[in-house]
Amino acid sequence: MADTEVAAQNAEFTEAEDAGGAPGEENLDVLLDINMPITVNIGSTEVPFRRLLQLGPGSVLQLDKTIGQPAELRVQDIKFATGDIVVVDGCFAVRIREILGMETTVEGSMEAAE
Amino acid sequence: MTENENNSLTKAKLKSLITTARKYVPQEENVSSDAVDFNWEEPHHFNLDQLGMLDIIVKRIEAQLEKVFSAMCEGEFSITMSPITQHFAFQLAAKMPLEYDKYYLLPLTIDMDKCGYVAIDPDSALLFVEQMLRDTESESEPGRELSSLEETILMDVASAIADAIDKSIKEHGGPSLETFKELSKSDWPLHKEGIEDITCLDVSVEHAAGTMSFTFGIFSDIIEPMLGAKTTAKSEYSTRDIKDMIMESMNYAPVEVCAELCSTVISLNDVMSLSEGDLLVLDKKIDEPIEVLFNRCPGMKAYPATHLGKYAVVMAGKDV
Repeated sequence: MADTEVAAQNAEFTEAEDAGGAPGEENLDVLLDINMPITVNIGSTEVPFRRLLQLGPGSVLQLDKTIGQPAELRVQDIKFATGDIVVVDGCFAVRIREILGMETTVEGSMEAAE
Repeated sequence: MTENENNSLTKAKLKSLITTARKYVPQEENVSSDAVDFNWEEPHHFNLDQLGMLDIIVKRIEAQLEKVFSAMCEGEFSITMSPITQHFAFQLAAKMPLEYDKYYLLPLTIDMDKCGYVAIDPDSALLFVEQMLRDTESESEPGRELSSLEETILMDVASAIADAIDKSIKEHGGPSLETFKELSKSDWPLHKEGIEDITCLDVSVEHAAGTMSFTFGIFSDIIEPMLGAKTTAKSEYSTRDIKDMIMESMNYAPVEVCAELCSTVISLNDVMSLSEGDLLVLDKKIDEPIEVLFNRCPGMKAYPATHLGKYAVVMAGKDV
């Protein structure tokens, strides 16, 4: 880069005041099209690091969920539904068992944050 | 009163106990807080005891330097040694082209390895040369470049300073310092410029002709054996040993393992339309392995299964 002095000024942003506009339906229309990453977790567990080092092909790792307990559906790490794992045309599928309410979802996200 | 009542801790007894205990609570002495902020910008290689020992060596250096300047300076002079300072090499190296642009630097070596330096500012360099030439009459232009002859004379001065320091250090069981063959200017005089610690000593010599000053700097680990310090463990542990020790301490660290059947992307509209009983077909064939996450990072591939009444995963080979 040439050794020239470039005059730089601080960028100043104006203080914004919330005009308090009412939420419009048109906002929701835009948001409905956005893509959400969804994961389906069949269970989890916690193991010491040493145990991971011992894992190899064929090793069995038992998860925390008992057979029959539903899998969890998460949107960006927030649990929003549970469902049973089924098979459709040779592919895994989830039959939604429960759409979780706000309280459960918030609790779940807080747990995840911890 | 029954024996049981005697032994029970009644409310009155409890109050009395608390009152008695309060009398024996040691009163906090009214000590004025002399806490100072921890300086994150400087290394803390040596503790106070070691710095105290270093001060003794500094006194010895002062005595040796007096001999050097007695021979060099006409008339009276006084030497002022500043307190020892500690710096990171990268900080000093960064200053070199900016603040010490015209300094004359004499690298000090051990087995040809540059481990220290004597740095003389340009004005002091002129004064040193004038003293050596006994030229106190002519008025020199401050900050001017030295001629090659003057640089040779300055080299003698810097070497004499380095010898004085070397003698003092050796007297206290330190290593033998050699001087480099020539002075360098504005180049970082050491072979490392990272987070290595450097111990510095600023010296100024007050004389009728003016104040001459110079700085002596040396990697702290070079002088630590003579101070009884042992902050580096180069010879004790190999890289392999350190790796093993870390692995050993990691052995019992818990890791969250999560079996993720599938990860997919659907529109918010579809998410909001989901209801109980709906079927969400996933893009994962039943004979394909699923992802096992370790602390939320993809770890291994595995096949879903059941084991002793619980869901489980069977780890797949590397080639799946």
